[in-house]
Amino acid sequence: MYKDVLRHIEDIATFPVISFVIFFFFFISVVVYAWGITKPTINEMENIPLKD
Amino acid sequence: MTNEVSNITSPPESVGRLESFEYDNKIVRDFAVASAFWGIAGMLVGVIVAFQFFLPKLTDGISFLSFGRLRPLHTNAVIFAFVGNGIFMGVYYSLQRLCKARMFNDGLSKLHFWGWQFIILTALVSLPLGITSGKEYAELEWPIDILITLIWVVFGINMIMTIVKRRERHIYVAIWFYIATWVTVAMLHIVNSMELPISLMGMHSYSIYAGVQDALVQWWYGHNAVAFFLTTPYLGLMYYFIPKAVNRPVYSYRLSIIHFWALIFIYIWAGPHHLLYTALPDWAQSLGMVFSVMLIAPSWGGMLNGLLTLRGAWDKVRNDVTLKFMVVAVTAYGMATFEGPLLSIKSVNAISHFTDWTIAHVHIGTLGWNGFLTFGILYWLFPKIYNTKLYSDKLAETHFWLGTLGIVLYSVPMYFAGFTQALMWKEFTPDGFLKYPNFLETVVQIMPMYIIRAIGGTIYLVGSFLMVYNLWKTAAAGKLIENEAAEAHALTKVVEVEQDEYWHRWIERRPIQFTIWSLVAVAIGGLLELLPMAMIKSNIPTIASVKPYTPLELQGRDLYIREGCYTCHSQMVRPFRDETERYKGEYSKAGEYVYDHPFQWGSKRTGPDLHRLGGKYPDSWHYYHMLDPRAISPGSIMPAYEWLLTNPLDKTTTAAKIRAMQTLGVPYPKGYDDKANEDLMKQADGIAAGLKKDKINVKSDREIIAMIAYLQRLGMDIKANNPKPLSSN
Repeated sequence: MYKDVLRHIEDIATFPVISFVIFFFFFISVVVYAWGITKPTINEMENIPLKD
Repeated sequence: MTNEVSNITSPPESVGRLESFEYDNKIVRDFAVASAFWGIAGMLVGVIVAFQFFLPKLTDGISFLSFGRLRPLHTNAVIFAFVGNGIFMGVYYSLQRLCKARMFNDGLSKLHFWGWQFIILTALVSLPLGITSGKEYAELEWPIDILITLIWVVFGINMIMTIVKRRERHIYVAIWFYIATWVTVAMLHIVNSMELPISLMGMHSYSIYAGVQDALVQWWYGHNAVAFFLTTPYLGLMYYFIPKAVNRPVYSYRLSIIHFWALIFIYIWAGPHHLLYTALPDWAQSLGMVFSVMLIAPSWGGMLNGLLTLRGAWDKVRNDVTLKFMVVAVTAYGMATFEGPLLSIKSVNAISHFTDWTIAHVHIGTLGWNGFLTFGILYWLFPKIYNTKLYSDKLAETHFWLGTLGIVLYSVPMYFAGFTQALMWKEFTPDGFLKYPNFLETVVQIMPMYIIRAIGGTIYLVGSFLMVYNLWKTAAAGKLIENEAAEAHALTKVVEVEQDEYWHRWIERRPIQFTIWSLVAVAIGGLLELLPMAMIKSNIPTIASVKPYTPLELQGRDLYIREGCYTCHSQMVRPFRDETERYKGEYSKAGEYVYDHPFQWGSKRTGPDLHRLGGKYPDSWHYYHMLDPRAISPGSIMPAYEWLLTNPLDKTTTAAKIRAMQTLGVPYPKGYDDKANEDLMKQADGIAAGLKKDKINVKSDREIIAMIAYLQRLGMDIKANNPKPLSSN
């Protein structure tokens, strides 16, 4: 029943696709960034809690 | 910014001058005490409701202690009072140290603390009185909702301004989780709490959303309350307190970055997994399922990151009770986040939903993850801020084992109960009839499980009492360092820009931009999920025979909400043969709920579904059933509702309720509010006269009459006329 109704909304099928595409590219860019951080920077960042 | 004293030393070129300041430990202590206190209170209410399952007469005749009113009190207390104060305790302690700065403003800290405790007190009074919006985990009524918003803003200002004033260039990953928590909870709370007060002088309101839309918004909220109140802030605490407790950095900081963004981005989409096989559109169900299954990756990434922080230090776990609590907490997080995606798969959900399996699942999360992490932090924190040793390691050790035993005795029987319910509800005889057509057969079968669960919960509570004693003795032996002296270099304005600086490094230094981008990340999910629902508002297939509730039914529905009937009964017959057989009617249609502000689909079937209840029994059955459920249904564990039989119905609200419904788009005729009570009494007199024929003498203006009217209406629209959906609009 609902499928028929939702067909009336233009391009409803693209909603889940848009969701996935946004997530996918966002995720890839975060992974690329995380990969690229230099070791000294990582060391500095991960030791912040221990510097009290 | 009190207690800040600057002394000038000659600074190196790249760092600012060395500044002396003090951390505010008093506010941390206050939140810690509040967390422990409300934790005990919330768990105690939990134990009481657990006992009510097999002692349904435990609080007989006391309306404000009935299950339907206490259960929301239990959930709200443990989530927002116990865990809420636990979050603030951990945030106020770690944020100051991670930012090398005192909290931005002591006044705001105090306002936050006392404001939050006041909100809890209002909940403590209003929920037992039956003042509820009828939406799970969002039961508090509109004036309290506004107060929550204001206090949350106070917390946000205090937190973000502390970050702005920090002396540490980089914002540590724990703080990202705090920011995401703040921004998302604000968004969820505001969107889900959109309600129209019936009158500005009263507490009662109606959700502005109806039926399917209300369900989607509510579970988008409900799921993300778990995600952004019970999970993300605690992950932030994990990323600070576990490295502190083992004195080594987190296993992989790179992983924590991916963990953070993937988690907050995916979590927000997963809400519809609470509504699988309901009248929610298929695409929304599938979207919720896919993202829920994907959630396992960041969740387990984070869990492993926490556990592997202990690499090479596992020997410490043997001797350090703090670490024991933390390790079990993170393990419980891993179990719950493995099970969550599993339960979100439609075929698994078909059997798990509405059963005690869900109860087992959430308690692994709350008792294990939230409870044990809070306990671990408390045991670590008290000796630190009181500058002494823990009063008794042995007692803490006993607490650990009691807590662990409590979790096992709580959850294992609930899993068994859940499996039993699922199997018995769905079993057919070879001839094609339900093997257990009477719902009570399942209830009776799992009674021993309910008893063991209550014992498990009690043991867990006893352990918590030991902790309170232990912490109290620790505090008594030491002296609170209210203001802890510290020194750090001020940040210079000039920022060295790395040659290959990424956008993320840039944003990590800018808390306000970070907050905005976190909001964007979660809002994209929210919008894409909720927008189509808003767009179909005018396109929901109208079922011609579905009419607005009569004034008496509307009043009865509000009593149904007041008594928290939705905590045990669903109003959602799913499209399964066993359900349409059991509940003797068609599966529930979206169009049937268009006037339901709020929806009452429920999430658990301790008792049977009620969506096709109307016309199933005579009025007299309902009357006697409310008076003494076990006299009518032997073996029933429903509490009695005697007060409905004697309480006069408050008719003074009828007109305002009709007007509120009209504002929300319910098509009562113009000016109907003036005539509503007339119609109400006409219908009530009819019901009372009918009852009289069955030798029941009850005045027509009693609450029971309205309740009967509502229960008899359920599902009747569709039963009466065998309706055909009309074309859209």
